[in-house]
Amino acid sequence: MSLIERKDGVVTIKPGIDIVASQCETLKQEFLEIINSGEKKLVIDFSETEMIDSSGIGLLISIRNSLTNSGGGEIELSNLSDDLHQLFKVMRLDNHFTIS
Amino acid sequence: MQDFTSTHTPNGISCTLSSTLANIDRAIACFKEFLDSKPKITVNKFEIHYAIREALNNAVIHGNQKNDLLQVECTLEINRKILTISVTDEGKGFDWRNQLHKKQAGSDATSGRGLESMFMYGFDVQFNDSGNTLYLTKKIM
Repeated sequence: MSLIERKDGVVTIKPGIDIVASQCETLKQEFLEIINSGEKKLVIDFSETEMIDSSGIGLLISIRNSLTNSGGGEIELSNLSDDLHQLFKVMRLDNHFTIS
Repeated sequence: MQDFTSTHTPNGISCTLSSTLANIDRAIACFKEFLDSKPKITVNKFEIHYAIREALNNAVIHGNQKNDLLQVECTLEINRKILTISVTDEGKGFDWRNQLHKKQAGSDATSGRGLESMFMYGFDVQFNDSGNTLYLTKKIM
């Protein structure tokens, strides 16, 4: 279960685990619950996430699409390791997310 | 049929797993432990873990369709500064020749990044004829 913090209109979600195929179904439900509650600004905190795989990347894209379809919003990815930062850059995810 | 087994070989490690997503995580933990036990090898372990994970995802999800009655065999070996990974599933294979020539996935695609990432991390990518065994090789220091 992710740690979720709401402050000043921003929801910060810290999965605390790797975002990989075995975890995607649970994480997707958590993200969709937040989007369906009307939140527009999400920060995903990767400080305890060492790895993501293509299923996890697909999940992030799908969450971004859900947010767009529900009227728009912004997703920021924070506290990425150097390896994850490089991966996201090469996979062109920086076109879709604010990476801090 | 065993759900999960791992065996150390003289130069590497081999895992046999039934096709569940949880078993991918168990296999990755074994490969991590093996690589961590080789401090003299200077390699970006993130890249190795990522490539093995993608290869196992492809075998379990696409090859064996997450049918836990079907198995995946994965080996990692290091011989003379060459790291070799092989992953075999029990599926019918796929048209890898066509797949290798596809352009990279669109930046908003929710799938199709697995093979791209293996090339990105400098692996030589080969398949057996039917496409149900993947071979990845990479020179290491």
